Amino acid sequence: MKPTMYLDIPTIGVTGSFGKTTVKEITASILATKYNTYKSPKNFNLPNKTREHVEDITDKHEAVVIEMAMSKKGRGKKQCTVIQPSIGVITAIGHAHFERFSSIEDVAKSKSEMMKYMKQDGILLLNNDDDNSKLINTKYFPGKIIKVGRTAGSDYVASNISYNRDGMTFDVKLNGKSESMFINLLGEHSVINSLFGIAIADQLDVTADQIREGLKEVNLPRGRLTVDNFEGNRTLVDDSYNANPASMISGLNVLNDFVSSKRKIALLGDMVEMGNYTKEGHEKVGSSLVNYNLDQVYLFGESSKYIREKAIEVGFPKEKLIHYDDIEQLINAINEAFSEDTALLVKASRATNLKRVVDFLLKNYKSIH
Amino acid sequence: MKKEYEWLPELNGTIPNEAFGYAVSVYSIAYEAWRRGLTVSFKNIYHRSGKFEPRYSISSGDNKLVFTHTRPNVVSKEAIDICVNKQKTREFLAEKNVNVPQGLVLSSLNESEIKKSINHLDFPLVIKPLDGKGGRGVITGIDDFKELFDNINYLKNDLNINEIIVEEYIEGEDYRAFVIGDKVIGAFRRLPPHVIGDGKNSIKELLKRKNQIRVKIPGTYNMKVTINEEVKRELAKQDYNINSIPSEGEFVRLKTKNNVSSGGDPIDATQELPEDVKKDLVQAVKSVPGLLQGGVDVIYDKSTGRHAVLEINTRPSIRNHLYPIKGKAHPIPRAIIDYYFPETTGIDYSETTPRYYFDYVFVKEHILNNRLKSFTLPDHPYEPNLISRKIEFYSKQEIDKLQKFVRRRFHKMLFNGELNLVKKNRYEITIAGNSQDVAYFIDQLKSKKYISKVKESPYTKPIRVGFTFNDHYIGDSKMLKKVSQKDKEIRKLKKEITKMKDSKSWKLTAPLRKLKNKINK
Repeated sequence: MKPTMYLDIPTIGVTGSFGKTTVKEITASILATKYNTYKSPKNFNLPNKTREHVEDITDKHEAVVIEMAMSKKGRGKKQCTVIQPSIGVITAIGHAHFERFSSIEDVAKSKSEMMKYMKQDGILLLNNDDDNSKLINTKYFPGKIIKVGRTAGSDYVASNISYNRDGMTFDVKLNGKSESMFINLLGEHSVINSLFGIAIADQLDVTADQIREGLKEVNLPRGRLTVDNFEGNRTLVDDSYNANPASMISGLNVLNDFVSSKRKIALLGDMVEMGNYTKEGHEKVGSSLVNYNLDQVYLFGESSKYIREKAIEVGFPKEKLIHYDDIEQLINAINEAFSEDTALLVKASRATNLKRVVDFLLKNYKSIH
Repeated sequence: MKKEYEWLPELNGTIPNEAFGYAVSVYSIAYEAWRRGLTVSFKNIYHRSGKFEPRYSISSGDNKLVFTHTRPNVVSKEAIDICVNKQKTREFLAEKNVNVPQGLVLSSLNESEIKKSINHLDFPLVIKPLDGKGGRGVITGIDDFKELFDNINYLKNDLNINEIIVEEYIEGEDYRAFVIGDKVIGAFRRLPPHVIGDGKNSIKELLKRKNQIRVKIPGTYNMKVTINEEVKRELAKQDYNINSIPSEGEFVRLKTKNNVSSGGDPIDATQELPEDVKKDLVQAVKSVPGLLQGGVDVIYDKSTGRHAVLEINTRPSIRNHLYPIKGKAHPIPRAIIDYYFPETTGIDYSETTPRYYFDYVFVKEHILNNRLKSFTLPDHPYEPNLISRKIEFYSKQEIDKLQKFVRRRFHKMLFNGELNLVKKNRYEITIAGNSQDVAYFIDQLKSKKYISKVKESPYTKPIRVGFTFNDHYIGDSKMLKKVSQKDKEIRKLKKEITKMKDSKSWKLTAPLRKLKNKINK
């Protein structure tokens, strides 16, 4: 075992049930406008990977941003024993990897390891919009706590949120002055994710202009609510990389509210690693369907049947729900349904492999920028 | 008194009393491995070999070494066989041009045969057993044939030694060096058991005082110099007996052999040995195939620069390197672990984490008494934000319940430390754990109705790993009771004896008692 790396430059650790990679990318992108910043690559976020990452940190670096999975008891301790963050982020507490936990309180405890093992006079950032994040008991954390969100009273509040095809615009107060920000990602959760990066940057004396510049440079791999425009006014909202009930509903919100196509269809696949929350989680999505104006909902996978059952139960038209077990049949059906003036949301856990559907569409349709 | 020694800071307070003495060697190596995060297990080999000697293993993944005292199992059997035999050792070393004394094994103990076989050697001579240990039977400075035969007879008849080496006596001082790989890590010189006169006290009294200090030092713990025939003989040589009063500053030698276990004093001498001697020491270890490490005995004469390697111990005690009575200690355990586990080199946990130590009672009590076959130490705690604290409080709660309450929290929050009952209803906890957990634990104590006057303070001494409950208070009070009771009994007895002695019959029977005493002898 190697001794813990304690750096005297800002060392940012990002954990949480979801949004880790996005927050890491946004934060690193903003900090890079002022500091020579190291960021952990891709979503390689397990302790063993962290052990490899720290080897790449050099004397030249002035800031470090590392994504740290704390998806199991003791994992956070391990992460911080490799490198101790001076600034810790807990993006949200949710049901990701729920098969390893007995309750949501357990998840909160696991993510709280960030607070217990990070630098004790450092800064901890929390999501003020997330009710589950209130389960984190901060009583014994002697450092500074910063809360971000839309919720009034947060230390960094996003207001006047609006959106268009390319991303989200919102206001945030920095140094007593309201600043307008833009992020080229969709969904309200993208605003909260941006707020984490903005708050950290502001704490590290990055100016509003530099923040805006950094946000512009954020470049996330596809599959995280990326939008493609194809010939014949076809729109693909690809969110096939990761899924949990909250982000699935958020994706449906984007399709419903942010996309202006005439016809809207959704392809929802299984959300995995949710343990005994699987049924409840899918049902949560099912009961939300009535809130949206959708022409067709395609479902794929075993657990997605819970979405269908619940949707019917709460009064969503049965004929709009089509379930598939076979991927080839699904691809054919989607190909047929993806007609002109149609917007399609693809959302599921990575393991459900809806990437195949996306790849097929990318190959078959000419994209327009 | 000015401190004349400098011991290793990492061992300060981390060696428990039960590991003092011979066990220091084993403990200090196991401890060094353990604090670097290596896995340490102790094994009982009594059921196999009948030896009450702990074996311990140190491992990191697939790399596992089993140690016997200070020697790992990667030292070859062949190397051990060579080193045990002093004649073979001489031959292997001479082969590689290492300086060794001239000598031979006596093929017969017949006096005329001896005279014949050693005619190429000059007095003074040394005799020693072919495969002796710890200086037993080594007699140096033999000046003539009479002395030689007397001593050979002493070895033969009193010590039952029949294979005897005779070799030339090399003028100089006796050094022991620890060699591993290409380096001499440390060397110490041994002063023979001695006392230094003050012009007032007898040799007996001076020795008593010297022993009082010796027994407190971890390295020579409980190793008293006892007055035996050997001491008396040596004193007679100098026209002294145990009641003589040597003059101030006079060095009175008590034994000829220098071994620390028989009363010698270790003095750090690493700087005294010149480079060419050190090179020869490294070469000596290399001359024995498969040896890797060893405690090399060498005689070195400062005035002439001459030296000769006497023997190599494959599992030398290292305690004298760690606890010299004068001079600097040398980190032998560190060198050993560096050599066999190079990937852990430079890991020093103590700077960012409280210092921990492990219990040795397990080995002394359970391994050496054949109650446990083996056991593995818990991992050395290592994580950010560990702190240690002393917490004092007052409680009238039943001891058992209180102990349970504290212990449960220790287990739940992975604390290490002790709960001590210091006085009636007065407790003290020494604890190491995550800083937030410790703060939470203190709040929990404060919230209990049956606990009051909770006081927290920093604690910098090493923490014993695991949870321990010490009932010092009860122990002391029981002890005090016992002592005062004994005192009473003794007073009573004395009174009775005085009465008896004053009586007429006692005086009359005096000659009879004298006779009885003689018979008892």
